[in-house]
Amino acid sequence: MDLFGSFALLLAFACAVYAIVAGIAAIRTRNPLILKSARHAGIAVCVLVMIGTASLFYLFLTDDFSVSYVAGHSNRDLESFFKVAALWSGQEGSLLFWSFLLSGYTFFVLLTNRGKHPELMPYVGVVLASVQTFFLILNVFVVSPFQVLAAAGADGVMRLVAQPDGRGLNPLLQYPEMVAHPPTLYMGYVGFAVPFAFALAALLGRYPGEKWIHITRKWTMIAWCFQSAGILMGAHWAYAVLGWGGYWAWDPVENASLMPWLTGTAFLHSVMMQEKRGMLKVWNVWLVFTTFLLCILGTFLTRSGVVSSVHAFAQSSIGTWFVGFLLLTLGVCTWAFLKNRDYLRSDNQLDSMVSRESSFLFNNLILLAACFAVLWGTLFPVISEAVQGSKISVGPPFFNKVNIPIGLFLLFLTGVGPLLAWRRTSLDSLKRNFGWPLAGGMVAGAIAWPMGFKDFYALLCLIISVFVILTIFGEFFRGAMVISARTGMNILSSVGQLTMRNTRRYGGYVVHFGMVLIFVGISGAAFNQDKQMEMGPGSRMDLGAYTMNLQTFTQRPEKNYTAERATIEVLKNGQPLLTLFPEKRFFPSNEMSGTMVAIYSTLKEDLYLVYAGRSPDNNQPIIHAYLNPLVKWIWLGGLIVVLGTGLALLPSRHAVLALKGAAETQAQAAPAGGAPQTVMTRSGSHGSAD
Amino acid sequence: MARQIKRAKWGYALLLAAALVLFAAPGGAQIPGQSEKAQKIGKRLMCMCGCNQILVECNHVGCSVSTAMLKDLDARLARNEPEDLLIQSFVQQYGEKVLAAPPAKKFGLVAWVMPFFALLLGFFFIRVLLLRWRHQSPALAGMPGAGPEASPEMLARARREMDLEDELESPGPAARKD
Repeated sequence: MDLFGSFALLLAFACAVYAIVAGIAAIRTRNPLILKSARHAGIAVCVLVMIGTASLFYLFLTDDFSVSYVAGHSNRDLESFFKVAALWSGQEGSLLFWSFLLSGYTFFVLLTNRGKHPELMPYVGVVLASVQTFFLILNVFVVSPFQVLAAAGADGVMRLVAQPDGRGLNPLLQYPEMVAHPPTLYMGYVGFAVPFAFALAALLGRYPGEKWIHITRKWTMIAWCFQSAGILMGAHWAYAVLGWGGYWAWDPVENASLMPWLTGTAFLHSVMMQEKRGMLKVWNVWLVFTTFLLCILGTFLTRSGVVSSVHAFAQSSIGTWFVGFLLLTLGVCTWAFLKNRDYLRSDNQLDSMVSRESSFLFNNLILLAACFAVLWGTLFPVISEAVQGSKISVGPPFFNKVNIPIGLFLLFLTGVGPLLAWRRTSLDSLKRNFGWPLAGGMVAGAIAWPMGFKDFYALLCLIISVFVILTIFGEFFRGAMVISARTGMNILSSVGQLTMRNTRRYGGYVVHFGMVLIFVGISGAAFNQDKQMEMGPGSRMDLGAYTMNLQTFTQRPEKNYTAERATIEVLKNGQPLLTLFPEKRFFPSNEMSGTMVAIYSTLKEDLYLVYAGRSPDNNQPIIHAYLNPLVKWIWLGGLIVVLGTGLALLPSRHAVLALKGAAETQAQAAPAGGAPQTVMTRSGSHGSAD
Repeated sequence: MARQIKRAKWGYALLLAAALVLFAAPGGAQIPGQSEKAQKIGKRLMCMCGCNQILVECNHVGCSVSTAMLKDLDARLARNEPEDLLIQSFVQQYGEKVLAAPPAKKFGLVAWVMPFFALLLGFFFIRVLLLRWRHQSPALAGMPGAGPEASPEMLARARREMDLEDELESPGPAARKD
């Protein structure tokens, strides 16, 4: 099976190269047969990469320890569930998984755009095939996941050596969420290749208008949604498994996933400027390029060992390949931009400094500043070592100090943006729209201060959060009132009707609401408490309103590990609440340990218990207890962000009706199809541009 | 309409109250005495085992480096060494990389200044851009789309839709017509 998998990937590589060559030939000759052949080669790549990935899955499921990658990342006692996750747990497999997801995206892009956009799609095919080729080079020639274990016999002949058992999966990855987190995050990383391909294709082909943005809007939102969900799942995994009481440590690998998310978010906002007003064309193209380049940079940081991280894969020479690919991609983007920049002239001018246009600009600036701060902090240890010869560490205190004010300003803009009108907003309008939400925020702050909300940033976050929530609810309420007045529907039905009329706009508000909840959750960290103590059976620890009584302490062997488990009775305000079981697991296959944190989670706070090992002095269990307020709001906010994005991806009922009407008229009128343009533009813009 | 607005105001008030109840900070129980100080100082230092984690947050089971550093920290605190002197002794022992954040002097200062400098530069760039756009002639703005005329029915429907959209955008008298 390893040979079969290797051959499938080799063939995929050949097909990818052919897809590039044939695609370029088709662009030059405009020969439909060559174009068709290039497209078929692209689809063949997808099928072959899927076969290669399926082969590796098979090798894991059948415990074929003659394959080095399988022997290094799995063992016989590993649950089948985790054998699936083992595929992307190491360098080689995760790169194959990149190729697999990219092939999936490419397949759907080619399928959904079959016969459409004849001037654009050949370029898109070439760009996607080029990215795929890079990863296939790595899969086939640099870090193949199908390398077998072999040793020279007495006769000097190399023979396969199958190990009786594998080294097993890293214990930190033996957690259900880890099965979902990497694919979700990768779906985000890889997904940004699609808007990148369309942007570069539009630039190379001088494709007119905003068509590429309309085509890629949904693809970008899908990638962004996966990236958001992936980041939050990673944070939740860190919270529940790593056992240090937090969910975000500003680790270089975490930062690597955040950077493209920030620029992707900026793109999703600035794209509206181009759709609505024909502005920021250069900016948008470069935002997409930057987002994709940051995805590759993130992959490079994770794999090259250039920055130290607990998440990073082992150091390898693969970093050079990524640097080469980054430079090549940057070079192509720059060349395409310089060659065709005339085509990216803005169509419109600004009517007023106080308008939604300028708020989008500031939103983009803040997002990019946050991205720069994260990138700068991540790379500063390397830069300092290069400049002064000694490394300067950049840890959470730096990132928190720099990013918290930036983040709060961004949160403020989340509330301001929807209150500003396109083109121009008057002072009266500002007063009318800002007054009530701003007063609400200030009242909230005034009440919270005497209640013990003394941390400056947390208080500011509360004020701004209430302000933003009031603006969002205000938008829903005002719109629903109009619908209600016109149709006689009740408010709830009107909200539903309103949302479905413009899913993008109101889905966007739902996403904003989710983001506010995430900020609220993060602000809770200002009030974290923790306590650590050695606890023998019968001993007790108090933290906040909770009392923990250690009842028993047991050891039990499981299939793949041995667990040391503490049984802790938890009381709240003296009343029995529940029993928690924090444990530590020892995995003999790779001689590593893992933590299983016990969490009692409520909307107000999380009681988080870690069994931190045994005291070297008296062998007593050490229990570390944390009281983390509002953490649940982060996960809740994440869920709402995903739901909001899903809502924004639905077609607007209003736009559908208008387009339908337009199409009907178009069919009746002329083949040129210009007649319904007025209607389509107007309704389309409302259906998609807010 | 007025009743509904009044009801909505009550809704806002309830929402505000709910937010405040949920935001209410827990009591101020902290780790007493020396441990609290050790925790505070430990958060300013990195674990030197190469994990890139804060000293008091290093979660490696049996990490001998963080254990030794924490013991050293405790011993120095027991000798009542001042916080700055204590941190300085760690810097002398491990180099500047032991600090969790860059020092605000020499090259370390660059780390702190650059993000805000970039932000300022961005503000300046946006200001220039906005001014340029304001003074630009609307050469291409509002160019009519090519193609045959829309039918009267389509135009009437478009007007109805646009009226509703405008109202959804800006309900209330003269709101956001500006």
